[in-house]
Amino acid sequence: MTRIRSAAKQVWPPLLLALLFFAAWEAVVSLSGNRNLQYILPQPTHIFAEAVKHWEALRGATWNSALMALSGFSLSLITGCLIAFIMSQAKWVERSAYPYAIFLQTVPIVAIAPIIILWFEAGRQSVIVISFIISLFPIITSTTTGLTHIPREWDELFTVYDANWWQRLIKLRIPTAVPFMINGARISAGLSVVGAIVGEYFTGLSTGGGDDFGLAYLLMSTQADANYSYLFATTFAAAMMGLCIFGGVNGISKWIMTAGHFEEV
Amino acid sequence: MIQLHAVSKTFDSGPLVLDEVSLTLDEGAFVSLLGPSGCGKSTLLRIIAQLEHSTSGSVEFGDGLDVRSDISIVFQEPRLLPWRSAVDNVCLPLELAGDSSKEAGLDVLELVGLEDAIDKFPNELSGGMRMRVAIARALVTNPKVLLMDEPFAALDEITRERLNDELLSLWQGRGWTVVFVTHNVSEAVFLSEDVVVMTKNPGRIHSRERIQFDGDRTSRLRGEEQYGKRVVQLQSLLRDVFHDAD
Repeated sequence: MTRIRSAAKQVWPPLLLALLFFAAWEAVVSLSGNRNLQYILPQPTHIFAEAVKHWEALRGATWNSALMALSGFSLSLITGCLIAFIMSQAKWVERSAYPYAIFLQTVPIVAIAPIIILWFEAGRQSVIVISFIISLFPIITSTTTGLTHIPREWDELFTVYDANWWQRLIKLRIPTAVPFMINGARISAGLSVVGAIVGEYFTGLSTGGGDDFGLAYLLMSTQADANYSYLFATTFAAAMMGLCIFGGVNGISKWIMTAGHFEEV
Repeated sequence: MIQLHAVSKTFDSGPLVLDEVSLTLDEGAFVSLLGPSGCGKSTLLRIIAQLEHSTSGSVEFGDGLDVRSDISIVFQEPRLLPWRSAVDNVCLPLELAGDSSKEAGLDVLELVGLEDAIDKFPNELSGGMRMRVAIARALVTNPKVLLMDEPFAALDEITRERLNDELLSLWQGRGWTVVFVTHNVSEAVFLSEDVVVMTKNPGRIHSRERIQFDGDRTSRLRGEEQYGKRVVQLQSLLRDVFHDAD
């Protein structure tokens, strides 16, 4: 009961603020009587009406984009942990591979997107690869840090008990790395959403008219049609999707941390 | 049981930490190493546990004593793994030796009075309870020698006294050989049969004091005159030692 009450305490204030914000927006735009303003800054009620009207398309596009982002994120999680494991094997491996990991983070994704499409062809697979590349780096660095920075006290304990390499890995290094990996995953989840939408822009997914289009396609087409209420509705859908993915990953992270009794790092 | 012959230690090219320390530890003895921080008492303990190598000199183990299976060490910090429950932390040494049963773990947890906390995690335990878990973990392998490196230094006075009482009665019942590092004079006097007083820069043994009392050692000893006298004696000895050193 108290948990529900404290959750309500957290939810109500920002919700109320949002309500006030939209009411003010509505009032200013409609009372201004300025046609031009109403055109480039549609009233919330109009955006809402447009969202209801195109509900099916919005829902489908959001779902498709979310699927792209989550696929890219999952690939990052798996590949990132594997790369981190390899890099943590020896200092020289880490030192030689690290510059290329940095490359992943520093290369502008829009600069390599054309090459990815050249290799993988325009389609979902390219979008996933772009989302994957952009979200890989945080997982690699944070997990490598976790696997290599074992507190000396614990390391010594395992020496005293004559633990072998495998026991050390399973019972000490991996559990120590979990909170680090989770911190990386939180950052990576947000990046995978950016990657999915950028990827969709490049592949121009479903300009052919299929029903597998994502949010980027809707953003492009509503912009081209100058249907700005619909554009705003799509932007809100994209924001909601990002928020849901981040919230979901955050929730799962918190659950793992509490259920596994891990310490925050 | 354990003999140290002229053990010296320097770290890299630093100053001499231990200077030709020779020490005999008899079976079943409770010996404290007493001295100020930096006198090398912890280093000496770590050399016995073979966590450090001596620069010169040797450590000799008698009667087929095996360093890894017969000697347990309790560190200054509990060093519990936060993702393991009390019983799983206690059973770690057995688990790493290939024994996955929990019975021995439950037994030692009962021995240290934690039978109600077996499934608790370290973040749910108080400092004193965590140290009890660490002691249980050291006992689970059924060691012959217990090395303790200022195990109660981070605890409050009341908890420290209670754990001292428990340690004393456990030792009286089990007859381990205990090497106990401390900088607390009353703790050393209360627990040990022998107190080895060390000086620093470099670490040397100043003297070895025999501590004997009339009657059994229990918590009541703390209120007795013979105990108070011995503490005062040892305190003034320590003061003299360090006055000479300065």
